[in-house]
Amino acid sequence: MLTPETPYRHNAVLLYSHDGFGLGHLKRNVTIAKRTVYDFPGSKALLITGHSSLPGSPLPYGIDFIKLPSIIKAKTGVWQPRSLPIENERLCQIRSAMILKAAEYFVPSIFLVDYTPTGVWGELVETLEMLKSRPEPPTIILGLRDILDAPEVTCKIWETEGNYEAIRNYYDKIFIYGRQEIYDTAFHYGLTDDLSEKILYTDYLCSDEPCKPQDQIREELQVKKENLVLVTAGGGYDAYPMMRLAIKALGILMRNLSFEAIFITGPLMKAEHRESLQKQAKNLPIRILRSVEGTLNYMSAANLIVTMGSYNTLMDAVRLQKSVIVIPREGPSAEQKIRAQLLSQMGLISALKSPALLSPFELAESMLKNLTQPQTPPIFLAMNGLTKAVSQIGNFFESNKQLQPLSKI
Amino acid sequence: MKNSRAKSLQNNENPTFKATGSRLRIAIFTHDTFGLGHIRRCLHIMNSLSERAPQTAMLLVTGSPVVHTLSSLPPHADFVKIPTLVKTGAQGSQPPHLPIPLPEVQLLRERLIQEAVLSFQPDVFLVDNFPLGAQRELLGVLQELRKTNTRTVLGLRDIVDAPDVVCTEWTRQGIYEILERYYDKILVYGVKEVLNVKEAYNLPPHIASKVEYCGYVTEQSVRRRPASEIKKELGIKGKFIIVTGGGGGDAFPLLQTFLAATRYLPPHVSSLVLTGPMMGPGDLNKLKDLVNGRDNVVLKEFVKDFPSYLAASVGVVSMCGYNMASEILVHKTPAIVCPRTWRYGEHTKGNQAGLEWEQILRARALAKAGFVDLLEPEALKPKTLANRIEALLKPRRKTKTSEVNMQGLHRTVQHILTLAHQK
Repeated sequence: MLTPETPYRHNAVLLYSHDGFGLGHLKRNVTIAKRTVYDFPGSKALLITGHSSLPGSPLPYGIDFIKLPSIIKAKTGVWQPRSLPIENERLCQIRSAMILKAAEYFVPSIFLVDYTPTGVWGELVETLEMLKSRPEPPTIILGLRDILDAPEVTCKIWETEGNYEAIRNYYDKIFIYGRQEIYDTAFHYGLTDDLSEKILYTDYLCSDEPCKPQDQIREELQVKKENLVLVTAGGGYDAYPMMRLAIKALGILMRNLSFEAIFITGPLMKAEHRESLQKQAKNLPIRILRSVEGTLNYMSAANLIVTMGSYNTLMDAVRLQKSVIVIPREGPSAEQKIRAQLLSQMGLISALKSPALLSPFELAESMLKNLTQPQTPPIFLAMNGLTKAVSQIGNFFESNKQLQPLSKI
Repeated sequence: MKNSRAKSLQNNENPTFKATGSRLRIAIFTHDTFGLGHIRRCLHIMNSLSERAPQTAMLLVTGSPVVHTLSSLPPHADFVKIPTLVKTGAQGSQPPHLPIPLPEVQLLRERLIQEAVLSFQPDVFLVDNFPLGAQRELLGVLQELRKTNTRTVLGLRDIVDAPDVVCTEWTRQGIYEILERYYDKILVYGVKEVLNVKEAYNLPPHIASKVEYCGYVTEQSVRRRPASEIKKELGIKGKFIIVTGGGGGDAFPLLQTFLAATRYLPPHVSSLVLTGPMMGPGDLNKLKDLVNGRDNVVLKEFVKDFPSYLAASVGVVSMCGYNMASEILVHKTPAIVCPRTWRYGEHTKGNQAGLEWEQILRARALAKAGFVDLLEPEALKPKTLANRIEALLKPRRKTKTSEVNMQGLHRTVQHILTLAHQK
């Protein structure tokens, strides 16, 4: 399969994403890895993750993954083993040693780190140190979504964790998956002065998987009603309050409007919560699913999407130009609230209060409005992020390629 | 325990994870496989360990791409996945899954295993079936573990392969020396009546003394759903038989023959065709077409609690992989076994790709002991199979099982715990 002519055979991308809450970071890296090996034949990608379920699998030839023992974020900046009853220190030792060996023997030409410059517990530092001291060091890239947390919170943590120093010392480039005019990520999070030259705004990034036309997917899903409401929140680990609220609101909406609804709870929602939702949805035209292949198709079928404010789900919904109601997570991170606010000001979505503060009536009212008077979005968000990020990766491949001996394989 | 350094990993606030001095740690390695058998066996062991010693920390290390699709691990257990070497069933995939020269992937795998296991510092390191892993990837970690207190255990399937093949391979690869130097215990997941390991594999006395027979290892503590519930779910009224090829990656020939055979059976006998989650989409679609329009045949790709279905059925037609054989023995289900002789995953080439003896040897041994009815590979024709099924459905003597068969999992875990505490 590989011949000496395979153009990108020396190019390897190593991708790291931490495994705290949710699948978003990993999903973004999987999307980038898939597009990279597709666009650059012969190149390969190795994902490092602590998540046990991999979105978007089966992976195509050219991509594999390493799963580390899992950790979980207890609260901002505090991590602990997800299931292994061992000390943090020992778990960190296993993880950091595995990452180091992966980097040593996989020999990446690009190391793309999502979100955490030094990794959880600083587990990347040794690896970054090692890669940097190579005779031909790889291009080391930090990938950041548009909004991380409240700027003062992030800046403080980054200061304590030595992230600015790490970026200065180890990183060649910072991809920001957003647009400066919409949210000045670099400014808000202190990536200024000497760090600013590393920054590249890629535009908003969403998956490029195709989705079926609305009519076709509606037929496949046997949707009978004109109005289809889709309620989804990515992995779904903290989606229960939002979904419970949505069921109540739909119960109210029933009196005014005929509709169907599909809930995708996500693989990370606790089983007892999912079962509870099933009970609450009894006698309502609601289907509750755990996880589905091709969430995008479900989005395409819907005319209203109710979700939390996570980056990936929101970008997919905006890409499909759907009416969207966002019920952002209250905390610990302010990320979703900030993003919801921003996109709502631009008229792209309806942002409501977080689940604890929102009444079912308010939600029902917003649903009714969105379904009966759908607004065409006033602007289009630049959604080119995947293409831009991957073509930039390609540029780094090109510059690395000249350094590699052609006879290596 | 180096508690002082733990403080540097700020805010270790979870009290349950603090006092870990007395907890056991057990690491398990299973090589990547085309099928599900090895991983399922490891999961059974982990589940049972978790019941017997709930505080134990367990880490499963594997390159299998399917580990995350299996039912969840017990509490206090986690897994590590290293780059995959075997075929994954995904389109265009080839081993390795990454376009890197094989020696480089192997080196990467070896180092990752080494780091994961050595940093975990297990009390016991259990290796499934292959003393050095599939490609000698365990040599480094075994050598390093010898310098520590970790006890090492090899868990051998009842039958590894034909005795002369095993002896030749083990001599060629230097396995006897590995067993002598690096393993404390050899647990056989089988019974002496089926294979006397010491004789068959020509073990010298100092290795033979490490061998313990545990019996067949299979899931034991599952709650069975009643037959009525299963039948209702399947939409089947009367008796039904199951046909299955385990994971299903190479089950197509058997399932196809079975579907042809059912044409000779009385119509009141229904069938449940379990294709298995590993069957390729091409094979699966062909089977679906064959089943289409037949109201006494139900096709399913996967069922979660297979034992419930087995208990509800009147008999099973299957290949003779380890797990299937164990289930049949433990549940005493009347069975016709049709072992495969081709090499793992090479069902399209049949025996052209070389012969593999494991299943047929197991099937013959089990048939000789009276546990199952064996259909030799060359006899696998629709009409013959139909005749055998009819015979199977007649009232018959109870299937024989010896007491030892039921205790496999229990004994295995007992040995592991004993070793862990001896440290």
